[in-house]
Amino acid sequence: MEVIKISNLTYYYPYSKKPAIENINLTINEGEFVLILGPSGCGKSTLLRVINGLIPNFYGGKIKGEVLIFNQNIKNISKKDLLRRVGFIFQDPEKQSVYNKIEREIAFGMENLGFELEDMRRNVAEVCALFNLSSIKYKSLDNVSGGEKQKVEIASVMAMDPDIILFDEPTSQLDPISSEEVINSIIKLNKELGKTVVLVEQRVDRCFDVFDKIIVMDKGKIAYHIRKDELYEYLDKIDFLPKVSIVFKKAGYDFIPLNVKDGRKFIANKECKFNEQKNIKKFNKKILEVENLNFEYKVGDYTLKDISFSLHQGEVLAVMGQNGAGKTTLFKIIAGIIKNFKGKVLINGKNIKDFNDKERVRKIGYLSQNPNLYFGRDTVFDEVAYSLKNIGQYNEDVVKETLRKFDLYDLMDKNPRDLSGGQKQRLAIACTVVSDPDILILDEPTRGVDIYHKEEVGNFIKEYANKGKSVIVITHDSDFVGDYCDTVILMFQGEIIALGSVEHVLVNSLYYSPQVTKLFKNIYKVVNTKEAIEILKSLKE
Amino acid sequence: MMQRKDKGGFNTFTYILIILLYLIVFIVLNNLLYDLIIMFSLILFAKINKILKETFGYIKFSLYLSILIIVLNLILNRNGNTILFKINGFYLTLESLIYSIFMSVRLIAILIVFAVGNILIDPDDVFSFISKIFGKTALVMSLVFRLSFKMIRQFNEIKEIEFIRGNTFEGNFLKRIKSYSQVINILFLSSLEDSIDLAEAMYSKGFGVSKRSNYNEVYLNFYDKVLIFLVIILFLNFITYLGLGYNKFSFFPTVDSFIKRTSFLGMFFSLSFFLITFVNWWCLNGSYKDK
Repeated sequence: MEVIKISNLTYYYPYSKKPAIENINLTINEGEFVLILGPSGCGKSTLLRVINGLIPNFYGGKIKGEVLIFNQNIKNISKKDLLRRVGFIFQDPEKQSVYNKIEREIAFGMENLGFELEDMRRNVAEVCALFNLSSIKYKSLDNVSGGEKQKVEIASVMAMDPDIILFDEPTSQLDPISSEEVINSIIKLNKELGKTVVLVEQRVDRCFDVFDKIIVMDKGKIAYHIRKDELYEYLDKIDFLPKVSIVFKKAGYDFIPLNVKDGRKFIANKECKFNEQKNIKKFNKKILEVENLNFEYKVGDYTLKDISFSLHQGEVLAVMGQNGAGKTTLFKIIAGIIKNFKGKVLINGKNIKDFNDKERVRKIGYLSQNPNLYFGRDTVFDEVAYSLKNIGQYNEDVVKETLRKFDLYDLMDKNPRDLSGGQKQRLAIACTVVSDPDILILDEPTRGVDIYHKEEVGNFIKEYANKGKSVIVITHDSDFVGDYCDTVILMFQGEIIALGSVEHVLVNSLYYSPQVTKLFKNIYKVVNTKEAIEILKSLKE
Repeated sequence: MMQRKDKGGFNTFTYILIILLYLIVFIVLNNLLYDLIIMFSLILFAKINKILKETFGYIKFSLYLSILIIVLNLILNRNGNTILFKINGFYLTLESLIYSIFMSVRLIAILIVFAVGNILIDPDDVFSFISKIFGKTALVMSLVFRLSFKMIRQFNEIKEIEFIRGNTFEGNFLKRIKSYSQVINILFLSSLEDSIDLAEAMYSKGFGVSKRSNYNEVYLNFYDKVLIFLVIILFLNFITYLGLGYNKFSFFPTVDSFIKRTSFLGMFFSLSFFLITFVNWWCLNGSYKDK
């Protein structure tokens, strides 16, 4: 049975002359698991919002074409019935919760739709059991992890018992462990409860072998409409694949596994001609030295315990670990934001406490997690120039050069808040590096960005380090670390529990190892995608 | 059914009325003796609800502040005719002493009201309650409540980002104003975006599309009804007290006599606040169950 049928759909946001989505034709059957893939700004989220009526009911704008939900034109369905049949989960759980208590938050949607109390109590109890939330249902949302918050939002929508559930990048703000929990919950909804799931996602590794249909979008249009049995015909044409599939594809194989298990099965017992020659980078000059650093927000409650490490000229250091491990606090200390710490932080041998503010800005650049909090000036140009003006080093040519480097030159007269997500991320990085700091600290630079932008960020980091600068990347993305970083620190509960070269730390990690490491586990010690491709090529030969 | 909270035993609506009554009385009442009696009833109320320690945790810094107010007032305020002592040209009057004590007691009392309210009133219940009465206005209220807390956190985050971009918040007054205006500008822009996100999420969960039901129904039990009745009587009593002109108390130039300004109605009114405490104790320990 067709639950969603879209014909010739075109939509313009208010005041926009260019359509956000154009001529969309799409059919989704009951119980299907549909993945929508594509680069940032290609119209994926807009399409989801049309399906549950947020567009045009909430956003306004101009819409053409026809959308049928359960064979009924969406225009003829009351808002209440539509929202009851089609649930929507947003990217950031922090931005969608209304109540503080988990139990109340789960009941919020049902309250709005006027459910009877008995039904609400039964549904709350059942969804809590389904998503393993029973033990925390009386807690406040402030006291649970990001993954649990997102599961609460899913439970809240599920309690309304919709037939179709739309997910707009539900794991983009989460760490890998939380993401895994959320994706497993989504799969459960489809497999065990038979719900129709439409998922927009950038991290496809965990959900690629469960889909029934893939929609690939580009520039507001559907580029490919792929059924599961047709996937192999399209593998050459799509870039949004699991890491394991990408390395097999780039190595020129006809067989493309969709998960690590199938990939390992394929390479088992194959003879390999790959000559393992690792060029381990050697670093000489120490730029940053951290010695016995301790910090506590509350007396006796250590956020950082005895942290010691060094960063060298030209080195790219990754810092990984669960949310709340103290990573951001550590680098706020190094950036000079937090000052009441114990221990020593030396930059080029000089204590950080002895730097004045202008010197500090020239030495250290820090990119915070939320780029939106950077933008208060009227144009992209002014935004980049702002950092230089603050330290008395404004130079128009330097600003323009930086804009060119980040592909923002043509956008320099635009308001920063009108840019797309990927452009905003690039602009925030541009604002950070325009003062040419010796140490660049990037906090989650790949969060929520698509594979193309991720590659751009990675290449920029490499280039910056090759200039003799040092880069620290705080991230959960182990594939990114394997491809672009030299050394890794793993932090847990305020302590460094592993420190060393990327190969040393990630190959031995149970959870933070990249996909290619898992693929070659106990065969080769590999963390880098390019190297994995070379190994696969040698297998073929 | 209205969930009986882990702290206290009344409905949110009842608590809101109690807190409002205490707040109005402490702001308007001009008699130190009555203020002290009513404040004591509030402390007892907190004790019965087992939140006394938590309440003082909230106001402990303001206790130091109130001592500072007394000291500063004594130094700076030299009004009053009754000189208590004089040393090298510095003199202390009874009026300024009584006035500074009165202002400190008023400050502490109001802070205790806010602390007790903050602990006993569940913001989720307030939202539910407001949305039931005011409908879509609750959306605006919710946005204001939620975003105001978030704005405080974001203010610090933006200030940190501005700091690492070289905005050091130093210099003369005008420079500092300019520095902070950058933070405020970003804060308002971000908050506006956040409020749209939250409104969209609320809309997608059906807020405002039909008459709401309530997971935690605003349900008044016997004790709530008794207490609401009591609060109304106390409020009417207070209006009478004000209307009859009993709320006059002069500190300057000569402080009024407490005995002269103490009336039967005033004492009756202030001691009546212990009835709230009693009904609260009765609710928590009484045998009369929900009917």
